[in-house]
Amino acid sequence: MTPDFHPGSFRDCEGRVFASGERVFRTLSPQAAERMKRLEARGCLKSLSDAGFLIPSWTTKAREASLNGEFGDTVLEHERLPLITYPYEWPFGMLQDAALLTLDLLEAALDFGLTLKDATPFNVTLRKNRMVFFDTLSLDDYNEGRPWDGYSQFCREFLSPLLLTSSTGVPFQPWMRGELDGLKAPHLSRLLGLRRVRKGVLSHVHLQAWFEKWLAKKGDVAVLDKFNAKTFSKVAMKGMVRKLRKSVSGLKGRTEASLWGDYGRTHSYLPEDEKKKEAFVAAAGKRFSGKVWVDLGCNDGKYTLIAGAHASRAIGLDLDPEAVDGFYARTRGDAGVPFYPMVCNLMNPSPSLGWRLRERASLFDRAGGEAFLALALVHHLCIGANVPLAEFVSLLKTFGRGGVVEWVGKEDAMVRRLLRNRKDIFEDYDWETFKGLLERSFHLQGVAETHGGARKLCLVLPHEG
Amino acid sequence: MNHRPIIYLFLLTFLATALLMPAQAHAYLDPGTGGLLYQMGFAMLSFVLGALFLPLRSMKNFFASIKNKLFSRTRNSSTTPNNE
Repeated sequence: MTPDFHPGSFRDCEGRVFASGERVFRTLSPQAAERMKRLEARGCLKSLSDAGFLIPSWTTKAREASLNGEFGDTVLEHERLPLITYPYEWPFGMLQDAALLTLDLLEAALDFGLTLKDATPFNVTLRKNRMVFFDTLSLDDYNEGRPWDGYSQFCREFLSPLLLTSSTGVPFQPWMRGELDGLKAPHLSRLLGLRRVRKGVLSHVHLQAWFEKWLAKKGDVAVLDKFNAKTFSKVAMKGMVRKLRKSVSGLKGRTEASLWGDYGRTHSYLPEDEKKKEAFVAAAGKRFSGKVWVDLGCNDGKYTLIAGAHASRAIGLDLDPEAVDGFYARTRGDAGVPFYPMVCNLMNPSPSLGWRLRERASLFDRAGGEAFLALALVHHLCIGANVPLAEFVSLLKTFGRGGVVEWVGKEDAMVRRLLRNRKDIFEDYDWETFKGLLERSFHLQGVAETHGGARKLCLVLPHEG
Repeated sequence: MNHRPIIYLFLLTFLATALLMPAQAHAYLDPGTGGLLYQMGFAMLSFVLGALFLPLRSMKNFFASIKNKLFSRTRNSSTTPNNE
């Protein structure tokens, strides 16, 4: 029986990923099976995994994965990852860490006589609050003189997006979502021009763009034949990797247009209201202990951390890349609960993308939320973006069967600010209507007022039965 | 007979064809080829720079070692009586 292959794993001809029960496997071509067994016997897979570069993987019998002999007698088993997030959902720091991880892995692999077949951030994700490489089959035998096949892809999918944000302040996420193959050198070269020359731009962007232009004019050029151990030694390859690492690690991601990056310091809460809110969220966190939390509009993740303290995992979504970067910096390397900072505009969340619209799953298909946190969000969606209140409550149901939602009334200073220069067409935006809608979908367990009653924290639970 | 409409139609078709057809056929060019050229260039440049600077560095090291030897000798000769 042919297993149900993961729709995003078709690019590698040597093996495809599938799940069997709770376990994750990868089929192996005869050549790949021989290589993986060899790497396992030499201890390479364990060393790279112990170093934190690679997800734990091991070879096993195909019958363990309920496979007959059609796909050979050996498969590769991977540790199961609870959630995979995509580079267009990452803040700058995550993409930068993923790039550095890929280079570190390549350098370590070269010491084992191995190389990486490709270099895409889609091979990297968060595991226990650290970036980890999970496409074990990318490890290939290295022959001295062979160039790095993943170099151009590395530039398109890692370096160029980072350079775009670092040089211009323009967020890379919408670009990456539009172009899954990354930002091409000729395009970035035109965008940056010669005014924004910094480390790595001349060589990895302008020079490559010029080469591509020249090759397009020239037509059919055989370049690969010119590579051999004399023209491209391992030393040269390692030198190139180190040069790339310097270019990547020197980049800074702060965008000038961030609205929410400093929200933690500039919000409108009085200290006593803030304490009340923290206690309310912490109590809800205990009630939904062991569940998957989704924080809608997480900002720098302050409340995601409180609610998710007892969770199995917690996802924080926010549209501001800089705020999400702050959240990532807070949780990076933490050994506790796994947190997933994600850049996401709820008005336009990640859809299904790629080949047959199945290669990259939508946010809703992946999140798997069981409890939600929606603090100071309702006015942004319902007044700022005209979302009807009933639709807002439906969105909450998408992310969990209960949780905490904060009502922000029209008397609140922030709502008044939103309405200052526009006509108030939101006649049904009031507490009674909202409460009625909430009670139709959930059991309203408790309400706590802040801001003199202008804001109300609501704990909602699933209806009994 | 007025040929003007035919001429206009011809020019318009020519212009549309020129605009719609790409000047170069990029479709058959592997997107990684530019990267291969870069890697080749990087290796060559590293080799040339190495060939230029390695002799300079070894000469510098050679003179530095002579200088060290000379200075350490004088230092030793000046410090020995004090130690005694």
